[in-house]
Amino acid sequence: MSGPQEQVSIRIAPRAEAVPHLREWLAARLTDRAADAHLAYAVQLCAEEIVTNIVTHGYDGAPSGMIDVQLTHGPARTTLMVEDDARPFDPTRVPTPPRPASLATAPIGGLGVHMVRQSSSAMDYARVGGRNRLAVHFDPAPAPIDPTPAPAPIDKPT
Amino acid sequence: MEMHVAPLSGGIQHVTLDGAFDIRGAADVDLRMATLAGAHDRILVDLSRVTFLASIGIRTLLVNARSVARRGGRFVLAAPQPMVNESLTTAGIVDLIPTLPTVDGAIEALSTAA
Repeated sequence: MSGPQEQVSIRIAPRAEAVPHLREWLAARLTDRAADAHLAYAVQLCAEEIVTNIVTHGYDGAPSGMIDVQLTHGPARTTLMVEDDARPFDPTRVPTPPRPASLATAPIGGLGVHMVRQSSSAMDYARVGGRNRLAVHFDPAPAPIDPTPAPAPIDKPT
Repeated sequence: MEMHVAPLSGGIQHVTLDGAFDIRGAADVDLRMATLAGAHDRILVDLSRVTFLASIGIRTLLVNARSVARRGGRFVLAAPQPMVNESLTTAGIVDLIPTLPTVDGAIEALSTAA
């Protein structure tokens, strides 16, 4: 991806049915901007986990307001911002779950926030005007370090 | 998400999932997967056509793998696409449910399992 930073936004109803639509919308916006497949997947995964969490757990059965999603895409950083009217919830304070020791003892839930954390570079949360505002940032992966040592200088006979 | 089941020799049920295993995909297959996992002891879930895997899909896989394992059966995953494999790795699933790079490898693992 190259060029200046671009911002697009969408407003969705806080319902499970809206989540696939949001993901498809994000995929199309990132494809339009020639984002790499890995970034496009990570943004969709984070959006899916965050919004699923909001619609499943955020409202005590009585969804209110709308969910606003903003995608800012630039060469240096991509940011997914999600704002909602659900009860206050700061995912950045959710502890990383211990690695499960066995299938029998593995917790069945609680993976969503962990997957967002693992798939992104940073997260910022704020409660603003009675809304949750979560920004998830994606930075380009650093270039892999070349493990090949530099060739030793050749001693030239003098 | 589509789900197709083909019985193979040795009592193996070859389950092919096709599409996005997201909140909608999980709703599409949850009941059929649970019914299958409740009735069979050798289950191979072919992920080669799964384009997206969210935690809600991982939850479905975990619940059913556990149900089969509890009866002494085997539940294996096969052929995940690279980014789906990354989701499985991130969630620690590859350490809990045998995940084979190919369907043939998965059939072999199920056939030789005690």
